[in-house]
Amino acid sequence: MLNYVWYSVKKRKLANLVTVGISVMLVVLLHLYFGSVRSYQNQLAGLSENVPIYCQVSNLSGTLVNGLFTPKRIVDALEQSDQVKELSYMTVMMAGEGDFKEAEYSKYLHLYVVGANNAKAVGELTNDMISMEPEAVDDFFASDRMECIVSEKVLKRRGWEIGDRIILKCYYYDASSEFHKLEIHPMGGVVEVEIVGTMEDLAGKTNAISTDIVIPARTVQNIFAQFEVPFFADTVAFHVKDPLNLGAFKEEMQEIGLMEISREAAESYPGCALMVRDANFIASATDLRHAIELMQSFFPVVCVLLLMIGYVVSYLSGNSRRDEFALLRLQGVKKGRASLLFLAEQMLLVLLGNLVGDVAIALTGPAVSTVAVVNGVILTAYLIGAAAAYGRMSQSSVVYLLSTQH
Amino acid sequence: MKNSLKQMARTPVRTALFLVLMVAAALLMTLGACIWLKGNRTMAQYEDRFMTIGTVRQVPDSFEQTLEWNAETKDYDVRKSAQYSSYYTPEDMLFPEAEYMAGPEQRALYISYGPAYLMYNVSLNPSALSSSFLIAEFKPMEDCMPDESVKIQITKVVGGDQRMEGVVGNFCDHKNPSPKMLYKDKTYVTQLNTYLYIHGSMYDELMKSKNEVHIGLEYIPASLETGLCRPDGSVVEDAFRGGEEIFEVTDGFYETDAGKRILNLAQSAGIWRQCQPVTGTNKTCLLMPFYNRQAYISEGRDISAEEYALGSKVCLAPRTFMENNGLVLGDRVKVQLLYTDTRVNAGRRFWLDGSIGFYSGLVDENGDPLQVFESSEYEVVGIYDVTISGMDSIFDPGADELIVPMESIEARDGKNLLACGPMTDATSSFQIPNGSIDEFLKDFAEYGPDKLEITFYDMGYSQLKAGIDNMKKISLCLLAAGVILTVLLLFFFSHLFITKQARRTAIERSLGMRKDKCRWSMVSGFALLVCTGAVIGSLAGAKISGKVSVVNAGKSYYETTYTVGLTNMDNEIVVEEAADSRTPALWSTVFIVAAGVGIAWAKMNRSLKREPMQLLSERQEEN
Amino acid sequence: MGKIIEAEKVGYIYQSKYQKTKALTEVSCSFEQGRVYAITGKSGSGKSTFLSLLAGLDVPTEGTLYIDGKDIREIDRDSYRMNRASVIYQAFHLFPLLTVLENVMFPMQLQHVPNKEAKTRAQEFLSKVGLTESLYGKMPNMISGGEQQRVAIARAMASGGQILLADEPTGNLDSQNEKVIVDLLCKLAHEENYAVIVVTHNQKVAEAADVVYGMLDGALEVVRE
Repeated sequence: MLNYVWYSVKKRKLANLVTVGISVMLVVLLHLYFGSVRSYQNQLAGLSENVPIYCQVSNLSGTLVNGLFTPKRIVDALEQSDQVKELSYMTVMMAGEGDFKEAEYSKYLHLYVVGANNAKAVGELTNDMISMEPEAVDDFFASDRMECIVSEKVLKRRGWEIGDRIILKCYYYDASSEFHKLEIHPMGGVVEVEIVGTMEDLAGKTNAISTDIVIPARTVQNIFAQFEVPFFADTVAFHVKDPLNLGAFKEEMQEIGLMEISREAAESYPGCALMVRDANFIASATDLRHAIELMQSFFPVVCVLLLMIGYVVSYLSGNSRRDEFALLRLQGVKKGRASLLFLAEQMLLVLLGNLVGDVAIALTGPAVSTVAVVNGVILTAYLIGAAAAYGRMSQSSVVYLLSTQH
Repeated sequence: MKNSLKQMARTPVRTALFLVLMVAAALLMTLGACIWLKGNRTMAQYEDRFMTIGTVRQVPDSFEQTLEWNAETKDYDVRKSAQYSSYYTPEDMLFPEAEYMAGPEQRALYISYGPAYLMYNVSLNPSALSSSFLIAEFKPMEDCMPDESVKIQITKVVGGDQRMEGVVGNFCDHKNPSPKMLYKDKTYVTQLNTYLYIHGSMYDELMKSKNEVHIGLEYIPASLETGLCRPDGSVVEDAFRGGEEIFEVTDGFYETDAGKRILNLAQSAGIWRQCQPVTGTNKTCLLMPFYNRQAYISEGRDISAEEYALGSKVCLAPRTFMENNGLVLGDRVKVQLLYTDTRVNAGRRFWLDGSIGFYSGLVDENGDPLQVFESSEYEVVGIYDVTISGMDSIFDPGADELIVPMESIEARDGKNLLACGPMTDATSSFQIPNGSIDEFLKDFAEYGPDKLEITFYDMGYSQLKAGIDNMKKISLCLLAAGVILTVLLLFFFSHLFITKQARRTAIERSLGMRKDKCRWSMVSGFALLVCTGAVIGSLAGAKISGKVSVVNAGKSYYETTYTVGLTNMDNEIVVEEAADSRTPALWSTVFIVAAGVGIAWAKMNRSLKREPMQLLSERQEEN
Repeated sequence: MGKIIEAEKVGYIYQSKYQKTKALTEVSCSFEQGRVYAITGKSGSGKSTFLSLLAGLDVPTEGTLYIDGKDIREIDRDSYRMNRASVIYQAFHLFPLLTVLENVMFPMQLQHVPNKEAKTRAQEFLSKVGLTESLYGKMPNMISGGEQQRVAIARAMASGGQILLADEPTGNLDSQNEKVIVDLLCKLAHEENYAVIVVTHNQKVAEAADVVYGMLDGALEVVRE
């Protein structure tokens, strides 16, 4: 009996080729369909990696992103948030060397001290501008040690050296009720920090202020706590950790208490609003999501069509073999066996088609589950079509089949 | 035909299935084409969101050191200034291999005189005293040598805020190594600029007396020379260059050349409070603030490519300017170009915080006040908002900055040129096709000027390019697979329909039917089925495609709370046109019918080539 | 000699969607091995229907048909066709995809005869029906009608059954081939002890038969015994 399948496969070249061809194309088409959706999804993932979303804490009117008073509560919440990455924040203080009299502060108060949690937070400072090993720089910023990095210019002018311990009397900024006026207040004591490195001079991003001394952000927080002054951050910026999950990020920001900027709001200093520069991402990602959804919404139709084609093709090609079916029956082959024989043949061809299709598509790297689904679906459609054809033939009498040959 | 129809009618299941098959094929093809078209359009839109912009900076040939006296340190300050043998122009960047989508351009900053408008700077504090620049007569409080800060009283404001009359201020002939004595019984006139913190004995006393954090500023005098320069960067010759800055007011002084010059200069004192920057460009995205979305059109539309090309009198205006002046979209703004600056962008003169860095010497070499050189009205087609950047502020847009098509400005050759400079990142840019940076840089290294440095911005396109290419490839493959499948189905169909009916053809021919008629008899039936199937399938495809797209369109996937820089164009829904689905439907029908008939014809010819008796004598056979 | 097939008041009604047609009415007769039976009659007289019933392709709607004494309704008719009875048709009905030799081997393969043996035996059968070896490898559509019918007979012999049913076996053949086939059928009956039942309206075939039945409007009558 299997001989017959073999003969048939061998001799019905064109018909088999068409059957195999169609099944190849069905498989390829379905694969490409999935592949297309996947390529969009990959692009979306790539987009979220390569087009980072930058966020800045601002005042309510959205006119300031530096020189703000962003409360510790917000900084802490952002630091702990799973939705935030590359958080950088800094706090600007003024300091004078030594424990001078407060009345003479204008004479001494010439050092701009910045507390930052990484180099980037300090204006245009980068790790390679700091005279320390990169790991040591990272370690420095992550620490809460009483250490500092000093600008080369200040180091030279003041005659300091690396390893020196300097006494700083720190003053913090405070917003007065009036706009355009900042007040500075003494912390209430001195701190001693060790110079562990130097950095190239830079004009800080805070207007016209060049940073003289950099202290780890945690250390600064501790200093504020030590003198019982509420800590604030001057500048807070970060990236969205998972842009694809923008909704969850924004929800969390709302929970943290950050507000949306309001153009109508009066000028103010508190850093209580958030600016998320995701317009480009949203526009691009929306395009991709749109394309994905387009593909997905057509999927049921396309799928039904492909199944229908598989079914009809299989049915028609099964039907075209009723002569042979009748002859087998005439030879005493049972209905079931004859049907199974042709079904097996059909399955062989379809499997071959599927295999060729899979190999052809292997380059696009489909997932194993996709391969299984695609092949399963096509095979099923084919088998149902063939089963319908042979089932119908089985129900007809041999005499009828023989007398109505085409 | 009749026979064919009869034959089909007698095998209704088979015919129905054939029809189903054809409908499915046509549907698949139409849907495939629709998906491909829509997907492609979305992807094109996606790709268009990426823009590759290059900014250009001319590297100086050398630095020249000049010495400038500093009265505070009693020493010369060394000033470095970049020297260029000549300025490159965007034309120097044109070489045959360069493929620019826009630009290259070097934008000039034009300053428009608009006394009718309330400018941002004034709007912040309308009654603020304009004390930073004055042309005034003054008397020293006592005889003094102005080699350090000295007290003076402004006795008469010749040009500037009249409310400054009677004000006592600080003065120092700061940059003059050999200043002259000032006498308290004499009146002097000069241009007064606020400059630095006070210094000298006045400062020391101040320090002793009280805790003063905000130390006062001093005025310094300025030369009467014209501020004009030539496009090559050289200064315009002027008899007053390097001349006296402080003049004693005597009878008939204002009749002298110096006196006349002072009166003319006084005419433009304080004029900057009535000026706004105008920037001409060839494409909005060439302006970095717009490219970075620091500035974004929130109302109206962008200037179209055509308007840019034709130099239409349309503009983009900032919201603050529009609101301050009660203007709305579609209104016209009167632009009167008064000065030109090719050195900096608007944001460097008209700061976003409202401060203004202005020019001095607003007279020509003959001492005549500079006149408006071009006057026209621009229709506001788009209103833009600006967010604070916090960094990269070199690209900041200017307050009240109007964006206009470069071509709309007729006098682009530097009329009333107050500052001139080479191409810089903030003033010069161009756009190239996405993904062509490497190629451009290679060609530029070969053909472009050495002294130009280029910085590219591509929004991450380079990293995403492989994925984008992959998307395009797969989508094309998908279309191709659909077409191949359709052709295969036609083959399959024609095989069952024609090859399998070779016997019928043989009988018809043996009955004396001519080949043509036989062919017609068979192909017509086939064609009828194919046509019917194709039409039904395509129509259904168009309908389904339309339905699905409508469901899809205008869906927003992301929360826009906190989002800044979202333009109204971002939300624009690609309007689905009926033709969007109709065209693919039409083409699918045409394709399927043409391919179907073609295949049937070929198959039929094969059948007809064989002798009818040969066909009849053999049993119906599988191929 | 025993009766291997016996019909007892066999009737058959074709039932289609729209109408009922009575094809056979109370047909009673019997068939023995070693004899050639001819059933003659006009087109539409019911003779082919009767042959189909004899082949077990269908069952009588009335009466009973006994095969080896058993009611045909109760036996495995597929197995009956496979092992006991073979049918040859006017249109030969050879497997178009199989060669002459493969066509003959086919029934033996169904009976799980080893391939080698099947081949030898097929060759024997083919030589018995007078076909030369040069034809063995050919496809059915490459050989003449007479040759195809002889292949069909060889295939019938290959099934090993002793009942050979033929429906107008010479209908498509010229007189020369017709004679060859008739002789072959007679030889099978008389020398190999087959029960050969031929449905025909060809007088020459009827003349060669041992027993001739006539069929008219579904009723059978003995013409010659």
